[in-house]
Amino acid sequence: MKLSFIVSLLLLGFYASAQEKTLPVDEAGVYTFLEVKELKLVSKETMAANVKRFFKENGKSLKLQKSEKDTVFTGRGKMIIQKAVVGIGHPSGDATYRISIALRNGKYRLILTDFMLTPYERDRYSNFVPGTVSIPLERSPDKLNRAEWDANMTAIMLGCRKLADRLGAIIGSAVTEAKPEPKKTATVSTEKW
Amino acid sequence: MKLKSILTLALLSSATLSFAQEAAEAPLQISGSVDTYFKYDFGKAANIPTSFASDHNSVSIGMIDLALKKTTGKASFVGELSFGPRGQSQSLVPAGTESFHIQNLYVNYAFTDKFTMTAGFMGTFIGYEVISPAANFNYSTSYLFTNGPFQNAGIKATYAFSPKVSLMVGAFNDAWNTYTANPGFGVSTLGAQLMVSPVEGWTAYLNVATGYVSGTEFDLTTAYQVTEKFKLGLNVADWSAGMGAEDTGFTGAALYPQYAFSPAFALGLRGEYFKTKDNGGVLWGPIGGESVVAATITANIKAGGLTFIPEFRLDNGSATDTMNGGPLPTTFVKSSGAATKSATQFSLAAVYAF
Repeated sequence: MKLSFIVSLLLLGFYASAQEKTLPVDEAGVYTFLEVKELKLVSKETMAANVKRFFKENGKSLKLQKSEKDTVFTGRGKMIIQKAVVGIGHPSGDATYRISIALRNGKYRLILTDFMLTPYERDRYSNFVPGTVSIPLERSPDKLNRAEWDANMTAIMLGCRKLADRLGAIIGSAVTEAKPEPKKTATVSTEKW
Repeated sequence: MKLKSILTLALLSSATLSFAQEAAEAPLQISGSVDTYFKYDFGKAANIPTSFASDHNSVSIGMIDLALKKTTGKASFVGELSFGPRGQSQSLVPAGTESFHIQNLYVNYAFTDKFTMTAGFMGTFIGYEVISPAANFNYSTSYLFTNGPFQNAGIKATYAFSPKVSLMVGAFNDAWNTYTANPGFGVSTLGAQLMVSPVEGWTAYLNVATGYVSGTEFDLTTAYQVTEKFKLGLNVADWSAGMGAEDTGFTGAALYPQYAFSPAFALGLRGEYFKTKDNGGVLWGPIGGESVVAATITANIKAGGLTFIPEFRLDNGSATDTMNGGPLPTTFVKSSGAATKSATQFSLAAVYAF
């Protein structure tokens, strides 16, 4: 009974997450992840400093290209798409995108858009490396490759969600620069007990 | 909810779950392929001697290929095993009763973002085509591939000056395609590869491997994604046998234009010219002093990880069967056993890559 209940909950979760099958589109018909969040107690200056820190800490996957008066930050990002079953697989491609973070007093807006998919190919050393063709996410797949496109879209949606959560965790933070704590070896006293 | 819908949702979710895991650590990577084919040679004999797809008028198997890769920090390991004719005896090593072959078994260490070292038994850095059917456009192989190295065991260092230029130098076992070196000759083949990428979508590799036992091969491998749909590849190579042999080896060139009509359908040509040097030295190809021109037209019909590969191939040898002066055995035979200059074959392969 317990096991069937848990399985049912998991399936319900899967079904719920699968309801939104694609990203929404903007006015130009481009798939776009957009999130507006209110942070009434955080000043725009703090948010701006934290956005810069966000780009710096995620430097491997994000590149800040332009900052307009510390109000609008734009750049490029890349997420790796894994092809996996039960968590074991290999990279099947990557998705590059344009990122834009705009700040106003008390709120910020995150936009991820202009996704370009690059399928990976297997090389002679059994590694998966980017192929030579990148295609916009908006290009409709044919019937034969529909399932693969759906899987890529699902991975991109999850990636956007994770990025938005990471940004949300840092943008409202009061600490602007985390100092690394010196490592201390744990000690025990064999005399006092 | 129907079972099919449940399974579909579960699979889609597994793509998202794996992406979440990737951010925390590099998981074990598993990949591979399976392939099967039917080939019919219109001479009613298995005429064309290039690698794999060797059985005439038979539904035959290629191989099951399994590759593991694990990255921990700066170190990574790759182990790739193959089972089946393509992965065993037709991959040359080991020749014997083993039922499997190691395609790759190496460790890699990235000292910096630019400098890496790799050691072990690896797919060769030379040539355009490879053993894995998942990494080739054509199902049959070229003479250049068949008569060149498949794998090299050794140690190599690669330095990436920029994303457009990198250099590899390495020391490899005395002979190609062997797990171990002859102790008398040891690690005596030197190899180098210069990679240049002049413009986006165009990559060229200038390769050389030279050693007393393995001889010397110069190789140019390049591919240019000219447009989103059109790709052009080129392979040019010259091999001179070692061990003091003179005028022994081969020279050849192959051109690979490919056009992708859609993500599901692409058509490619392979035009190859291959000549054996005057004193021979080629096991699978023309005799000494003779040449062959091979034209292959191949389609790739893709559905996810599955690719159907129908292919038609015509090989035409230079040697003629003559009764008067300088008779030279031709390369191919008819069903009657009579020599003939040309051979044609049709094949249909199915390759599933995962």
